[in-house]
Amino acid sequence: MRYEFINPFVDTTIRVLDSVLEVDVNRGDMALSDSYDLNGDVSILINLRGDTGGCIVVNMDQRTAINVYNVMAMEDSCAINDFTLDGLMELANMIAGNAISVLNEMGFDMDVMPPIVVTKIQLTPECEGREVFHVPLYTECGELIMNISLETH
Amino acid sequence: MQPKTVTKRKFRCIVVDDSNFARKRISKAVAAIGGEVIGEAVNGREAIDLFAKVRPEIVLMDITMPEMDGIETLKHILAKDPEAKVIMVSSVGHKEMVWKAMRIGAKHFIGKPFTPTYALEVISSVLEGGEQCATSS
Repeated sequence: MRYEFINPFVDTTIRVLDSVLEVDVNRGDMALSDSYDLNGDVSILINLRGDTGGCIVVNMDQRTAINVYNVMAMEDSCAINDFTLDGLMELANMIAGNAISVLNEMGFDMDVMPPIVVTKIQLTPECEGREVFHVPLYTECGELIMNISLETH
Repeated sequence: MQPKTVTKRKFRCIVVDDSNFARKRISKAVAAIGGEVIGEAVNGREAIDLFAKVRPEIVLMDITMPEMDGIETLKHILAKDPEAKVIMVSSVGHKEMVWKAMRIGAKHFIGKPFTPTYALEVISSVLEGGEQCATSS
């Protein structure tokens, strides 16, 4: 695992959530696992390539996803629909874009594939043989779990 | 970068972004700072037609879009009107694309996420003919 890549992703995600949601984001204890924590209904997938490849999955339950969307959109939606997923996609783009910028500025040659937002039933992430870091993020909208799985070159 | 204190100002703009949510969010930010969105486009081709039709004071445009991206669209718009004031609005993922846009003639770059206050600061600067600059809030 390329540990130097982890904190930029976590810090950027916190900064973007803090800016977009205008709420405090508290980072919980990081845990190491050999699988993703995908108990929530909605996931943001960010695939990386370059100096290291891998996948970042931000997982949350349906209520949290709706809360995040409602704060971002200043709306009062009560279900996951195309608009909600479009909003979460915009959030995913902001996290991915800003994180890659930070890594590029640190001197790493990294790029990101277009992020994907999926519901649980569609999700088939690949992490075989990799370590996965779980980083819980606590917000007023609910809990988001960051899963960070990177290849070692 | 801390935004300066700025007052609202009226301006007419179009918003170009393939994300429905992003267009809506940018439009709300524009309204919050006193501007008026007079049209929206979901890709570069639509943006070129819309620009020719409504002649906005400001174009707020994403970089990554299907069919025709923001860089190519910028070239077409500037070919029609070299004085066009185009501000690129995007996540900061591809800095080389941002610099490319600035070299071609974009007036500024706003990185997402941004605050309405910061957007107003940038738009005011561009409307007043301020120095070309690429920053994020």
